[in-house]
Parts: sequence; C-alpha cells; structure tokens
Amino acid sequence: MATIYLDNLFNPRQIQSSTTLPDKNPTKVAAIYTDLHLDLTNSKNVGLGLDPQNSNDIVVDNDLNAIKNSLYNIFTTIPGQKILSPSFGSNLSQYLFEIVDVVRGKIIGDNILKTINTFEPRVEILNIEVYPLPDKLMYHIILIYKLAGNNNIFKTPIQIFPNNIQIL
Amino acid sequence: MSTNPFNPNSYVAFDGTSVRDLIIDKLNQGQIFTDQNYQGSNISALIDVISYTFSTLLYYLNKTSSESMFSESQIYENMNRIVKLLNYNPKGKITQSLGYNLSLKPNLSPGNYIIPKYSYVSIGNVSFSFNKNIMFTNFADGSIKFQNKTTDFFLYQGKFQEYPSYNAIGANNEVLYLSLGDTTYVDNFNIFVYVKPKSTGVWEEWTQSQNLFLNKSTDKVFQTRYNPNKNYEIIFGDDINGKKLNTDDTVQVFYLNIDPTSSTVASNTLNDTSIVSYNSNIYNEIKTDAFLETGTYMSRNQLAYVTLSNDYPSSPYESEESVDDIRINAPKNFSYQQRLVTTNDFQTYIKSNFNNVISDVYVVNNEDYLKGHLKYLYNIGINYPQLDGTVLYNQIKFSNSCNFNNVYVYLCPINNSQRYVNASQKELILSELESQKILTSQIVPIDPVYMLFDFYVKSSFSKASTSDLNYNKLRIYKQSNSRRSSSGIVADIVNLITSTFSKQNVSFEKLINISELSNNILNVDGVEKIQTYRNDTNEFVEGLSFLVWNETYPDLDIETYNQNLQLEYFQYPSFNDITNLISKIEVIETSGVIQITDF
Repeated sequence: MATIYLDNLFNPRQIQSSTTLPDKNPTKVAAIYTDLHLDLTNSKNVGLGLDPQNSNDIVVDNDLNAIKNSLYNIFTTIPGQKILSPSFGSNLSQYLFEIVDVVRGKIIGDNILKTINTFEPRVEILNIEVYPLPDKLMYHIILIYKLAGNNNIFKTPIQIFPNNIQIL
Repeated sequence: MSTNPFNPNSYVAFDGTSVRDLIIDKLNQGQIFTDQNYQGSNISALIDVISYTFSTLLYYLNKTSSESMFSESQIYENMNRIVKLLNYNPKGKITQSLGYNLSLKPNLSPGNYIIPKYSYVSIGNVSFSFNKNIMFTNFADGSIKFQNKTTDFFLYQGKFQEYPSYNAIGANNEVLYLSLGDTTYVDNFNIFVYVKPKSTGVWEEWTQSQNLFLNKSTDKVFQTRYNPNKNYEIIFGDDINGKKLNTDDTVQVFYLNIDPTSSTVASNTLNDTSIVSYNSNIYNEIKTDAFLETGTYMSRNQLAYVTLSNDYPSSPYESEESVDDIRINAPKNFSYQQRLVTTNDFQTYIKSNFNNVISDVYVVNNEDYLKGHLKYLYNIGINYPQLDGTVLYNQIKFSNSCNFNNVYVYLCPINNSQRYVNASQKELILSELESQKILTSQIVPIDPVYMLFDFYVKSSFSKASTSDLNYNKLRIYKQSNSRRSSSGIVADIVNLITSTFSKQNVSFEKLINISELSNNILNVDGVEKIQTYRNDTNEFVEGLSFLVWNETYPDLDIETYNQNLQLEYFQYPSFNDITNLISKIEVIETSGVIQITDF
C-alpha cells in the first residue's frame, strides 16, 4: 500500500531557485545549523506539488552552507568593521600587496588557523595547505576540516589575489 | 498576548550590545535560526547592524529629548528658545562703559549747548560713544551747569551705525530682524529706534521697553530680544500692548557696533581726546524732528572746547549669557516678575544686568544690617559705627534719616584696579532699580568691608600687627629628587593663590578654605612640605597661616588663622599686595641625589 507523506504541508522544503524542481522526498532530518542566505529573498515551497510557489519564508543556508557563510565572513572582514564585535575578522587583506612567498604563506596559514579557532568553534581544522603562486601574485589555500559532531571531511579552497579574496 | 520583554524603566540602558543580546535570546527561543550565536554568520552581521542602528537612534532620541528640557539643554539655540516660554530675554554682549567728567576750555561763548548723542571719541584705535544728548549751560563766569543726571555721563565702547531704513508692513507685533552678519557685534543696551509715521512724516523716538505687556496701547515702545541665532529682534506693539507700526511707516535703527577684542581703558586716558559728532542725512532729519532738547547742538569747532577726563578705568566687556548662565538666571527672573521684593530678586536683577560693573552683590534689610554690619563695627571698638567713613558716605549720598525701610546693597566692582563702585555707577544701578523696587523701600548702596589676607606667624613675644608682615614668608620645601626648577614651583603656587583670591572665585560671605588651599599647594609637583615662617623670631607654623585684618581698621580687627575662615556677608576677601606675591614665597632645596632610576 502506498504511503502518503504529509510532512510537506507543515514543513515545506525550501529551494533556492525557480528552476529547481521540488524534491519528491520530504525533508525528514532537521538542519543543525541555520543561517540567513544573502541576499535576502523569499523561499519557495512545493505549493500544490507541481510548481514552486513563493512562500512567506526567507531563504536560509543550512549546515555546511551556513558554516561556509561564516568562513567567508571571517576571511573578508577586517577587525573593526563589525561594530559590536570589533575584534572579529582575519585581516587577510593586509597581505594583498606583499611579496608572494613561502614565508608569508606560512604566516597566512597561521593567521587562518588562529582566526578560525577563535571565531568558528563548529570547525575543527585538520590541515591548511598554502600554495604561493608568485607568477600570478596570489595564494591558493585549501582548508581541510571537519565539523563538530560529524566525521565527514570537507575541503574549501580559498584564493587570495592582489585585489580580493575568494572562497570557492 | 505576548509579554513585553523590555523593562519599561530601563530603556536608557539599551546600548547596542544589550539590544543584540536581546535579539539573540529571542531567536534562540524561536528555535528556527541557530547561527545568531556564531559571530561569523550572516544573521549575526544583520543583528549587529540592526542593534547598532537602534542604539544610535536611541542615543539621538535621548539627546533630542534632553535638549528639549530646560535642565538638560546644552545648545544655546535650544536654551534660548526654551526660555522664551518664560518670557526671559537672554542678555547679549555688553560693551565697556567709561564714566567721565566734562569741563570746558576758556573762551567758549556763554549759552545752552548740547553734545549730540552718537558722537564719539577715539582713544588710540578704540572708539567710545555718547548714547545720550549731554546738555549744559555755559555761564559767562566760566561755570557750567549740567541738565543731565549723573548716570548719563558714561561713554560706551563702539561706534553707532545706522541699520538700513525699514518700511513697516503694519502687522501686529511686527518684528524687525537686525541681520548684521557674524563679524558685527551689537551692544545689548544700545539699540535706538526712530519711527517716521507715514501719516505725519515727522520722526519720533520710540523707547525700549523691558516687556511690551507692561505698556499701554499708545506707548511708543519696542522690545528687543537676543534670538537663538545671536541676532537682535526688534518687536513692536499691537495697539493693545504698545503702539503698532502702520503700513509704510519708516523705521530707522541705530545700534552700537562694538569691538569685543579691544582692551579696557585705564584711568586718565580720556585727556586730550577730541569729540567727533555723528553725521548723516537721516541723522540730521531725526535730530531736527525727534531730539526735543533745547539748546545749540555743538559744531565741530565748539566741540573742540570740550575736555573729557576719566578718574576710573572702563568696565570690562561681557560676552552674552552662556547656556548655564541662562539656566541660572531665567527661573530667578521668572520668579521676580519685574518686582524686586526679596533678597534674591535684588541680587539676581543686579547680577544679570550689571555684570560688567560688579563682580558680586549682597542685599540685606535694615535689621540684618544692624545685626550684622553695624554690630561688627561696634564690636571691634568703633563707638559711633554710623560715622564710619564708607557707611556715612553712602548714608548721606543715597539715604535719608528714615532707615527702617532701607535695602542695603553691597556692591563689589568687577574691575581689579577699582576698590569701590564709583558714585556714578551706583547712581546707574539705583536708577535701574527704581522702577521695579517696592514703592516704600529705599535702596542704599554699600561698599564692601575688605578683609586682607597675608602669610603670618603670630609671635609669642608681640601682638599681631601688619607692620611685621615683611618678616613673614611662605616656605616651600622642595622634594630632594625633584627635577623642577624652584621658579616653576613658585609660579604654580602664585597661580593657585591668585586664583583662590580672584574675583571670579570669591564673594561676600565666603568660606576661605585654608586646608584646601594647603592641600592644593602640597599637590604641586616638587613640593614636599610647606611652612609659614617668620625670620625675625625664627618661629614657624607647619602649613599655611594667615593674618587677616580689616583694611580700614587694621588695628581693631586683626587675627591670625590657620584653619578655615567663614567671612560675614559684608566682608569681601582680598590678598594683600598680591602683585608682589612671588617675593613672599621662598623655596628651600634639600640636598639629594637623583638616581638613574628616577629618569
């Protein structure tokens, strides 16, 4: 006998774009971490089950995406910018116009490790690989970590260019 | 119904951090978002922005609401507007005034003469102007008879200027704004208004009223107000209180353009100055129509016969009332309501209107005067205190034989070189008080009893005497490891004592806090201890010891004090020969070695 799940009536699955079709499997596992997704937009739900419909909810980032938000904010915030938490941030931008070499790469790695340990308790850093690329005037960094309470290992590449920082 | 999470009494404690914590708490309770607890999250950034904005808005709300309160306002513009509700008119700048004597050189033909108002003299680069017509009769025998009151013989720093003619629109309580720019300063008490009604075509002088509500519908009066922009508004009546301007009446304003930066004029500097008469087409028209005095307006040649002299220096310039001054004066002004009844009424009125003449004032009735001042004179051994020089002088000049209704006004001049308020200044104050005092009271100005202070150690071999003052000094023991120069220490102590006894810091009925002064001296960098030392007997007292005596009766009232001293209401403290204070202080340098670690 077929089973009809009615969860989506009170716990609609959120999707990020109108082109994404709703998952036919209803969400059963609640997210551990929930953050706002920027820019702020309305989320969509399954509506009648055919087309995604605008809901009155806001789009959120869950779990790994929420933590990536946090890492991005940590790396792109200069201490003092967040007014009510003036010590927050990593100040990686101070290395933007320095000579690209191994020594500074080591310093950048230490800085990232210290900052994440301070501001992101959900992340346990396993390794930070810093590759100086003097020809391109950039560093390629790979952050290897796992989340608290989760044994999965994640890798997040970061690129520091002379004019900006990118988290891939 | 949801409960209010805010304590209604703690809204001022909502700084950004507490608002942020409150939002985080609420989100935690909602259990929808989790990342508000992590500083790096997007939602944390959004919460920070909202909290900071809230706290900033709350700050401005708090500040704005404070600025609207009389007790909290700090901005002049706001305070000026607030006290308008109390009908208080803040004082503007008050220029220097200079009392003068007038005499004539020989050979001016006999007759009635008038020195026209707005004429001026120049002392160096500083101009002083007449604000009244001075009328006198020159007799053939060379004697002069003046028709003015004593209070008219004042010159005011600055030159009179004409404001462009104004055509009235005929509104009730019409207001003429004197917009003169930021670099032109106008004296608060020297604004004169002439009106040429369209119906008559003849200039007439309108007089300044303290408050239009005190005037009848036909009174040709105006009121000035120093407004929040520090310009003057000239307000006319509405045919109910004060006469109204009619359409196309011409208004001409003369104001005294002053120079706040010019220094005061010393005594005897008016000699050999020549009077320059004011001249303009409108002025000459006004002089013909509105100046009602009979006599010959002195020409340039005739003015050369007039000699002016001044026995006293000019009173200093006073800037406009500050916010704090207004905060003190406005309620007092409101309470006396143009009626001088209580001691406070008199004191407030005199202080706020003559603050460029007097530094302090104290008012007592006859009973307090008898119990206080006269009893003091009697106690120190004067058998007929009413015959005391200053008492007798003021009694004869300003009082009559009936004393029970006397109001005694103790006046201390603001000018350091002036010991007593001079007669013409007293007349000026009395004439101002006349219209507002209780009808039956009689105001008698009284000079202060100066109590002089100097360093002194009382000898066990002789009585205290001012003739021993030269033997006494203040000894400063310098710290052995101090790197300050002795002269620097002395300069600091001189400044302390000068400041303690300056007219800004002393008053009638003053408590002379000797222990506080001692502590302040001991706190000067490099001072280890102080002694008052007497070198003829080698006696000394640890700390400060003062000889205090009555300046007029130094043999009758003389005591030594090394504790705090409360003066009586008629006594005014002054330090003896304060210009030579440096010579009364000596520094003892104890030998010592400055260690390297001291650097």
